[in-house]
Amino acid sequence: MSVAGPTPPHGTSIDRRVLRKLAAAISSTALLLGAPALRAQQPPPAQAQPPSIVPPRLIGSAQVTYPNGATGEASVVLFLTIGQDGAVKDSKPVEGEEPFTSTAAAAALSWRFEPATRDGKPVTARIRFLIKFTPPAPPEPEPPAPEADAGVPAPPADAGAPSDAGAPSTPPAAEKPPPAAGPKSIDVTVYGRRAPPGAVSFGRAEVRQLPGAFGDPFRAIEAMPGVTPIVSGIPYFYVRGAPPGNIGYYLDGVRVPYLYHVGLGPSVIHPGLVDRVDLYPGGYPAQFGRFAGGIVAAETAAPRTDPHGEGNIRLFDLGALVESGFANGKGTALLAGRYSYTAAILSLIAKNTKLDYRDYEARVTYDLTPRDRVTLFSFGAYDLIGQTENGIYNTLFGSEFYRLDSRWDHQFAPGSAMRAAVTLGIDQTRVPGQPRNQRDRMLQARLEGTHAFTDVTTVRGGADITVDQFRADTRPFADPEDPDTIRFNGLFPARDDVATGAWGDVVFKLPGVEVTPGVRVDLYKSGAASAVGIDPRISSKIKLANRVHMIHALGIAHQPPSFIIPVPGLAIGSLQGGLQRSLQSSAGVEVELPESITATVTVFDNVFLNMSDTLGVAQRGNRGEALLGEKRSLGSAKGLEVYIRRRLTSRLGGYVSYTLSRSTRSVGTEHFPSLFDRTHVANAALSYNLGRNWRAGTRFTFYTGAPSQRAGNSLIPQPIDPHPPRDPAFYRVDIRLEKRWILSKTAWWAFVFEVLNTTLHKETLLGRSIGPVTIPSIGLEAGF
Amino acid sequence: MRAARPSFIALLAVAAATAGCLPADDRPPPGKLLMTASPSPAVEQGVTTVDGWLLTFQRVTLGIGRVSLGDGCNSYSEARYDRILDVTKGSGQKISEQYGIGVCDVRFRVNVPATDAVLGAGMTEADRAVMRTPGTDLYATDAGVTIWIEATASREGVTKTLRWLFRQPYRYESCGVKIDGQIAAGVNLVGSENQTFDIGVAAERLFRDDIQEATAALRFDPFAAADANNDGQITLEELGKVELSKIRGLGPYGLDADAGDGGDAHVEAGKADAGDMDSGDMDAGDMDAGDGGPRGITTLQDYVYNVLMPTLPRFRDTGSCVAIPGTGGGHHD
Repeated sequence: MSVAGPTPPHGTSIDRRVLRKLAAAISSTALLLGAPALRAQQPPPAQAQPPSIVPPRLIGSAQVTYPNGATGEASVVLFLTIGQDGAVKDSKPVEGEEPFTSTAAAAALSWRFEPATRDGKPVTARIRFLIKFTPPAPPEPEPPAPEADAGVPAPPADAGAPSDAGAPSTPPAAEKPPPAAGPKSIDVTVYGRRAPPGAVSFGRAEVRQLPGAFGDPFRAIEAMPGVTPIVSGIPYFYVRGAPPGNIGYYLDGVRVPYLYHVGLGPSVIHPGLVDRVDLYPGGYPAQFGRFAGGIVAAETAAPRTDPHGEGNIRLFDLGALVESGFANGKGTALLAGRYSYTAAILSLIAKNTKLDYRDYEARVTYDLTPRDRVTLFSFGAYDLIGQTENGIYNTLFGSEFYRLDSRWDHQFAPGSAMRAAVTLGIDQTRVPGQPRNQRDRMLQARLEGTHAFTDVTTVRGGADITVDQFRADTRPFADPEDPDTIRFNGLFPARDDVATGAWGDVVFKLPGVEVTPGVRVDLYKSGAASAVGIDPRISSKIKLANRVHMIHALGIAHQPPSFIIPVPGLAIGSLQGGLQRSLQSSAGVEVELPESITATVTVFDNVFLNMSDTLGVAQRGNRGEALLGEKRSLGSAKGLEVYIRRRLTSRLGGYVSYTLSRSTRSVGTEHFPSLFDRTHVANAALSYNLGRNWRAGTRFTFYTGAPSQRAGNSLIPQPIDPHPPRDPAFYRVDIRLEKRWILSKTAWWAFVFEVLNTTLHKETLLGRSIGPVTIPSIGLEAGF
Repeated sequence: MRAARPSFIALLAVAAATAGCLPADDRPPPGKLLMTASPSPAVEQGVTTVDGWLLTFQRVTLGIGRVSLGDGCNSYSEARYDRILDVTKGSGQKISEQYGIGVCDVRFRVNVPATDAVLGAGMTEADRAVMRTPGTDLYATDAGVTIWIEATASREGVTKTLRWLFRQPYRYESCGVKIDGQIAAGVNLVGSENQTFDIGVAAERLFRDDIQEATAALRFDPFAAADANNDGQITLEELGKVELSKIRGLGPYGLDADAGDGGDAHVEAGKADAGDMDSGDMDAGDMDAGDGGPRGITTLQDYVYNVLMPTLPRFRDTGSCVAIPGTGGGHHD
């Protein structure tokens, strides 16, 4: 279930539909509660209320257990009276149905708030508080990308520049000035952060219901519009024509080198920690830079002071997450991780082979003051494949990364916040074929802030500097004249790279029109080479009619030369070949349909200049440079995306995602489709609550074949067919079945059976049959 | 949760974020195998054939490399690249070095050099260009050059020159060494021990009149006679007009597949065996049937191109290899 912050005032009679919409809008607020991002969206006090009024602020998170025996989603609105000591003196439901209302009202009495203040003195306050129940989701909140309802002061879109999770709890902003002194009530409004125009989001609870994703939020990316898979089951993909190496991954604003264990396994971040994954396929906010393709940005769940946890055990791995508060709720500590025992299983099958992966996440937060929170967040992942031959063990491939992010979040006032952070990191890979360890030691400092000047204008900005120290072990046993070694050393020299940049944008929120122009400037230095990228961006959301919006996004993005796929510690040095550039544009219409269904139709047109997409031009015959070299090309991707969605956590939820696209490359005088151009990509999923805590889902994935072109083996360059034959189309069906048992108000466990590619379909790639790649998963999950 | 726990977590986090966990390469030190190429004494100094021709070689250039250690041993590193070597420029020219432990099946290739092939002594970009210029002959289409021979034969004031470009690539496997008269498969690489194995390039074998070492002799008269236009230049095409059946009176020009004492050499895909020619174990018996390659062995050109040419590179003086005809135009695999 998810818990939202205080609701806006709607008089004595609150329309349920409005509340439902608000619930959707605010549900993500539960996770964003207290975030600078959220604060930035609130009406600025200077304009909307006397600045001397500070509304009550929830300490920690508000937890309510989904009622035992209940079914379906529900919303409850409570009137809470918060005493001068921060305790909830009274809790009365004003909207909702049993047993949700009584459960919510009872739970609220245990919550703690920072009391409201007037001229610095605590006062009693009365607020509305919306609680949304979502079955059979685990206890963590559910984060859609909501939008404030018409009629309430509209927040700027995505006004929160700093990541929200881990930030101090947000004091709700007062919508109207409170009455005179004395213990009188105030109404407060909290707005959820909306995804920026053009972004697609999936929350954790939804991903749990997505067949074939195995509960991993990052696995849901491949189901999003604009995403073209390379091979079914392998989570590397093109996004609106951009190759995997041009897509940036972030967790709470921290760069992550790769998302999946051993390239194709589960994600490297424990799913229980990930609150939401946003895909920015293009025209992304100025906050994101240094990648010319797309951005995958995940955010962690907000800290919780109540002891809670979850665990799962599956065929190949087990994972756990625990979190609790300390220091009377001022601090929280979280520990999570996943460990694969595939090595033990594999040893029964192939005794000489070793496969090992694991990840961990640790987070400590502490509220220094009601407006200051410090966070220490560390996470990392480790993968290893080895083999013992003739009694000698050899690591064939290994990769790892670790991050330590220390942050200070400070709220100046409602609508004004900043984050200062320093991140340490190390990426390392045992490079196959070399073999040696190549590593990157990273140090990043960043400063982000947001300030709402008026109801209309919010300014966001930030700056950062990142130093990457790339080093490699000396290749111990190798022919020094081997061109591959020489080329490798040339592409990945030992060096110190510096990237520094600043960005800023302004969110103008006018009636029916929201426009966000922005720009970022990055300076890249690698070895003796340097370059500057200037990336203007602009997005808009225009209300055409009730429930109908037009969304535009336009931007330029720069990126240093990229490797084929993201590999920890491997980055092409010295800016060889220069920066890549992309011009990303999209336009779409978003329609809110009945039954909580949203539909979006988007057309996009991306141009990639000086693009390093070795995979996409592999049919040209890269000869010796295929893997290590650089082939620059002019790329183009045009297409149409259709996305119709009803939340998967609804009793009957589902989505249809369809992409019609054409991705081409030009090299010299040749113009041809990208090697992974797929004209049609479609995903459809249904999830249905069968009752009695049974839930079943299925997902259908279909895409047409990529060009069936191979590099010729002739010395005479062969012209590339601009209209090559295609591999056959592929489809697969995934299923998911879950039975959940509620043990108590807070404890539950579940049995989950899931299969990717139930139909055992084989795929054809470059004329070769692959698979079938079928992944079964049987597991138990539990939480408290 | 007690306050000590967050501190402990923080310490762990700091430690993890500043040091990696991947193991270093802690395998035992391997043995080093340095592969080199040298001219045969005949290539180096010239040789007189049984019919009195003095053969001298001005160029024996080949694309050679991509040495691998095969299965059965622990290969630490292989050098899968080509070199363009002219063995007339010197002995012991490096092909590549590789590392491993155990008894390794050494494999190498003679093929069209890749774009990144390393130039050997005296080689220039012009030589690379010749080797990579596609051409077509009876046995290869639009292929570059694998072996480039330039030689002169003279006798009693008559001089014949030849410039032959062979385009058929070969990969050589199951290379062994002769120990106490027996062929032992592979090379035994011992930790921290350096070994050098030399591939002798015996271009004079192109003029042998048999594949049996015991009966073969170097004979040039059939070649001289092939110079139909008497311009002094003997081309491969002119050899194609010489029927083997008509010169067998001069020499055996046999194709029998009798296994010699090498024992382990054999033919792959009906092609020639470049192995232990000393033991006469060429198995070309099927070639007359026409299934030994692109065409049967019926002319002197066939004989030189498909039977004798693969025998030029020899793994050590006493070793053997199996030659397997390959394809490819000089690209990396």
